[in-house]
Amino acid sequence: MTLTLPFGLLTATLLFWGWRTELWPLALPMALILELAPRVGWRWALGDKELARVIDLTALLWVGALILLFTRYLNQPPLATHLYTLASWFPLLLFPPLAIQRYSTAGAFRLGHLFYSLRRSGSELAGRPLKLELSYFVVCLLAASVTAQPGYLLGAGPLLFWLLIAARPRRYRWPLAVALSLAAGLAAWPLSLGLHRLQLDMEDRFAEWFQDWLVDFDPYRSSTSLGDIGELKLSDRVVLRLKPMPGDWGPWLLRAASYNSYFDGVWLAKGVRFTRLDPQGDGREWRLSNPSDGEIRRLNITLALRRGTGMLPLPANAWRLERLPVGELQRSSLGALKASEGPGLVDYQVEYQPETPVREEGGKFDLALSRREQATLQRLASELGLTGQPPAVAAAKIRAFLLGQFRYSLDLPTPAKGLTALETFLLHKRAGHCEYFATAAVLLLRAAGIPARYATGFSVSEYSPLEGAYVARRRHAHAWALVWLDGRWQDFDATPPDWTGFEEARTPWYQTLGDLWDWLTYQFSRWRWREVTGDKEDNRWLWGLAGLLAAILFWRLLRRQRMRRLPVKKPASVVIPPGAESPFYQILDRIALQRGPRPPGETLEHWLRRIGAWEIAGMTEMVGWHQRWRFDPAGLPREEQQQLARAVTSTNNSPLPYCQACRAGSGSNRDQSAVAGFPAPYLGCRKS
Amino acid sequence: MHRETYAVLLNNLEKIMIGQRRTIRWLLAAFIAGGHVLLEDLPGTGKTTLAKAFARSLTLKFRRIQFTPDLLPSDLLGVSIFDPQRQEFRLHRGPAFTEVLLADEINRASPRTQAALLEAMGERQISLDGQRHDLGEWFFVIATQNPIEFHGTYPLPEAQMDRFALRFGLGYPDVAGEIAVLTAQREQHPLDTLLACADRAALESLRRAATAIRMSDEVSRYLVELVAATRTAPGVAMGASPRASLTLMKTTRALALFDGLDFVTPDHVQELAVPVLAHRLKLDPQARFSGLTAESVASEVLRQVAAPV
Repeated sequence: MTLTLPFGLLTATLLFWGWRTELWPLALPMALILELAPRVGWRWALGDKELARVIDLTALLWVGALILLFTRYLNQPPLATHLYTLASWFPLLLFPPLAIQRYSTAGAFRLGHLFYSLRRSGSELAGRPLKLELSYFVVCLLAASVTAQPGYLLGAGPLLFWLLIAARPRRYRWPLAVALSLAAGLAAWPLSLGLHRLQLDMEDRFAEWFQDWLVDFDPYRSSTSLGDIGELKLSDRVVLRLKPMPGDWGPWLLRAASYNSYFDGVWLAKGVRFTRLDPQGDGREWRLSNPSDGEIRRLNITLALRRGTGMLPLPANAWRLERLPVGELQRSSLGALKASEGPGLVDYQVEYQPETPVREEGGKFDLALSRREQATLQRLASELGLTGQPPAVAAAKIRAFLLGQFRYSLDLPTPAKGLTALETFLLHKRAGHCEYFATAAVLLLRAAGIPARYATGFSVSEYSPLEGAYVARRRHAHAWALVWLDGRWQDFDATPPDWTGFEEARTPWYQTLGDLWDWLTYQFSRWRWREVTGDKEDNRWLWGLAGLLAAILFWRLLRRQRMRRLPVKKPASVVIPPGAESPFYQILDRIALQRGPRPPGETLEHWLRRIGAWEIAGMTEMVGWHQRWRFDPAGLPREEQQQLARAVTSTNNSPLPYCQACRAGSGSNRDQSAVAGFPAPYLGCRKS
Repeated sequence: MHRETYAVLLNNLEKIMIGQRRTIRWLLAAFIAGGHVLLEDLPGTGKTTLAKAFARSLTLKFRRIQFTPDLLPSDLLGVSIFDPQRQEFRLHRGPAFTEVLLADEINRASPRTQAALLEAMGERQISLDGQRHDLGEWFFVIATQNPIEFHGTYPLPEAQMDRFALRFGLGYPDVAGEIAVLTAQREQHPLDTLLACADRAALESLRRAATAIRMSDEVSRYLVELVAATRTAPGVAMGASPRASLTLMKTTRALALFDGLDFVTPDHVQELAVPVLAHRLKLDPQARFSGLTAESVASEVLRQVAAPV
């Protein structure tokens, strides 16, 4: 069935959309354009080619919108808000075909205009007309629904109601149609709630996947996978790029945050304070300490910042940052750097002195053992003979113990009964990933009386020829220990050095493609942030492009002088045939339900006779009244209408007789009275 | 009153044409609508009897011509012959000067003779020697042709086909009907005892009443849609003309009159769609070769176009 929208419904829906999404400066002209179409006296004579071009232009519009939103998203996650924005733009993005349809002589788009392949194949499908109006109505309602303000149903309900009432079969009286529509609305209410839940769930999942390439370290807290079971899965998305000075080969441990207190699988930064740093020079240079005479090395680090905020991974003993256009930089008392009010992508240079220590404070938490594992750790410490040893010797023993007797594994084991995950690792399993090694190292060092901390960040060693830089993937996120030796904090990585190989072994075959994609997004992101002057979004290029395209299209249309005057024609109004409210339809519907519908081409009387319904008392009169009501231009007098209604009511309470063929018990019920030589169009009865 | 006239006529004719109510109904509808009829059926199914009985019931003059290949237009229309006694040409009127004309096996005559009938059918007049002779308002041609035998025939051209309002067949009667035919003719042919049962005044009033039958816009649209659909139906080289629409309207009005209604229902249109439209369709040679007939195409069109309920 083709549903024809009542005149004005689309305009009202557009205005509703504009009101909901506060895009009414756009919605008003759009509604006006639609509304004016029947009133202007010209139409564009557009051929198939131009119509296809309109579709192409619409596709370009979509691409532009997607790019715009993607750049916005890179600046300001989460994704969901931008998906909502996109949804709320749907009516705008789909408007050109609708408007062109209204203003062109073609009247309707065909499927072939959408698909180039279909056009070429010359298939029959290509000629199938597209009914844009109804889809557009639904899209407008959808787009209007994505704002958080209440009151959506107050607007959408009446609009849908309008559609349903206007499109109801003519034979139903309007009170029945109203009641049915209301019932449908009530039934849809709980369904919509369920759908809402489903949508929230799907959104979360999608956004989770999409945000994979933005890493974020929490300076206060780091949940480890200690105690989780199964297998650790980390993605291969490239999250950080590093360009060293010539002659510097790495590998580098870039620390993003450090923690001092462990409890049940979670590392916390207790007693941490942040102090604000002041920029130097051009406002993009930051000094962390004063340099000494030692060798100075430089690294270029590029990474994405979520909403311009994030922890900066730095090599140990970094003392100066350059080209870092962030509004605020804070240093924690544990040595981590937190940037905020920055762009979506930072590309900074860090100077560090590998040999010269940078002063950092120690604290009372740097020797604390977690209560649950205290006994095990101290017993292990004494077994290893750590007590009483100089710190350097004890540290070396711990490193030897961990590297010698443990192996790297991404399996997450089930903790043994009565033991914590860390104890299972230390005593039984003796295999785990970096978080196990780092935690064990920190706690064993502390058990030996050496201050230690837990550090997280990246281990960078992979060189990417594609990027021309060292890259850190998400799976290169690493944890290690910091140990206080010789009056400074030193990196103490007790994880078996072959761990990166483990991870690489699981690289999927399509990794190259994934890298290429990462690289492209990175390049785009770089270009997007090429002049990080401020935070203002610069979309002028996009609007300019859209304007240019629109101008080209319009010019082409004008140049061909393809405007054509319309013959003055009244818009076809919906004709309600006379007698549509005849109650006799109830009987016809009932018969059709029981005996199958009337075959096309068979006359009403013949059909009723064949299936035996003609013998129903009063049928002859009812058919007569009904037909007079429907087909006599003079109509049916009021009294006879009432007579018909009464007859229908009484007939409705009686059963239907069997059809002739069924009663005769004969298999063949071909119509004998059909004229020989002419194929009888009549079908057999459908025995119910 | 008109319904009674129709019922009397129907019953009278049914005495002769047993079990042929529909045939009689359609024949009368064509007559009241002022059209002509082409009966297409096998020999011996009662075409001539029907025509004779029809003319006798209506008290109309009846003539019958057997069409043969050597039949000339003058044999049909008449010829002027010089009368030596009166020293002038006298017109000898042919058999076409009648009211009910049975043109038997019309497709056996040469196209020239067939065309001579064309003017008579279309204009109800005959032009001879530059003089027009009016045939009267009751001139009604019942032509027959054999649908099986094509040897030595001249198929009617499309223009002539279009002149016939209806084309239909009689079909064989069922067993009971055929027994009844035997019973009726045991002693004498019932045609001999058939009485006239309608005078010209009654016919005139029927025709006048038919023009007063109403037709709603919806039914008109359905009718036109049906006719238009034959023009785009697959396998059709040439569809039905607007003349077909006109004929369908006139004949359905007659049917409504017979049913005692003063308006046309879609049922009437459906009833007459195939006999009115089928013979006007010219099929693609390819479609014909693949077994399609004009009737099957018209029936399909009837199935495709949604009728108002």
